[in-house]
Amino acid sequence: MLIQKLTKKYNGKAVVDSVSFEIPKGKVLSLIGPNGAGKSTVMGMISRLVARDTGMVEFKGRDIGKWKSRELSQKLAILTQSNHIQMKLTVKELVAFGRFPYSGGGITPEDQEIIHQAIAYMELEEFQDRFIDELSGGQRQRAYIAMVIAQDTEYILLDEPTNNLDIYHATNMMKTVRRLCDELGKTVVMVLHEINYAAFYSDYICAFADGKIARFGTVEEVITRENLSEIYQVDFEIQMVKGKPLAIYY
Amino acid sequence: MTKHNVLHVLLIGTVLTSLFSSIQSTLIRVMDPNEYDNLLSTLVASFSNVNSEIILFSLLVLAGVIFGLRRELALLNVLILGKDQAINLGVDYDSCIRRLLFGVALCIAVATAMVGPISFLGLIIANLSRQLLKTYRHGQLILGSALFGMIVLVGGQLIVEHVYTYSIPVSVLITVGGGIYFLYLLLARWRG
Repeated sequence: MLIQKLTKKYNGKAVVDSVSFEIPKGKVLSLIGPNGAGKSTVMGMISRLVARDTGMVEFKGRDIGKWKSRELSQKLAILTQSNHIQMKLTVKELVAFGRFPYSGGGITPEDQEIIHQAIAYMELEEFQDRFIDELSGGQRQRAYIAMVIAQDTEYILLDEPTNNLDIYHATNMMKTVRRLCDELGKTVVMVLHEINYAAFYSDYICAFADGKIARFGTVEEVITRENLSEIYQVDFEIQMVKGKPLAIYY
Repeated sequence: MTKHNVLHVLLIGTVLTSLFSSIQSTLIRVMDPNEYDNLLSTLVASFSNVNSEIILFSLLVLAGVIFGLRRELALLNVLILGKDQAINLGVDYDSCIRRLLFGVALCIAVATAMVGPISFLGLIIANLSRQLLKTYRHGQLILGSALFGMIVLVGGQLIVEHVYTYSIPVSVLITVGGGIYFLYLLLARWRG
């Protein structure tokens, strides 16, 4: 998946300024950077949720605008932060929506199997018949991830998946992302606020500042004192934990 | 249109309603009182005075809307997940919403042409359905709404005929009942 010269302007100000990079297949890529650096907007443009002003997003050799939305939804899934619906929907029904790009409204026996597996993967069996508005934030987030798993796409885009999750659930969410890549071979791109989750659980990092890419590379290449100090404008110390560079700011 | 929000359309509608109501009031004031009496009976929705000449035409329009929108109606369930998720699952959200809004406008036009303005009833029935039928499935919600609508209207008409002997139009009963129902909803939400 190739991103070329993406630009987005709001009121004349370039929120995303000629951003180009390639998403490494079968790996986890995290987009980090200060607020307003353009990470979520880039994610929006890659996933076709936000219109681009200029630039191209090439997906499997074709411009993403040329894909039929139904076809694309079988290969690319996005989970944003706006998941607060009030309807009486059970966890099972929500996960079943993940099969919509394949079966429309009707659920086949194969779909049932996939739904069942997705629920089991996220350890939601005991909640599967509860309404999602009766679950805690962490449980609801897991239900949405189960839906994305049921959607069975090669590429998964996650916009701040650990927002509103406590340390226990956020860490487990990161472990699940790692499993999605290592066990199921998916390519995952995440926008993350927590630098250390990005450093510990991703393969590649793309750091944004002022709408442009400040650094792109492997975790070891990007997570350095000089890079992070420049991007975030504060002092950092780097400490190795289990072979990964973690950033301490103060 | 949906670069902004579908709610903006509703707001515009509310503003236009006020505008046309004001124009209407002004015209009424300069009118002959006898003509005004004639006009009044058509301005208030009355189910005893149904415009029966156009029943067949209305049914055809409704059938046309349902047929023309059959694909969008099948997508109603997915739309409740919100714009982002609907697009994620492959729905052409903007086009879908536009067409559904048009279909809804046509349906309301049909209902208004037959009996007069009854928008409040629609609001009541939709809320009642959502509350009593604890489901998101629109197939059930729409059928349920039709059923509740029939019960409320026939029941209301019976009350008007036998208890009030036609002295008040059904719409007054519905508006009072609906107002009480909405007050109850507000209080329930305020407490819980």
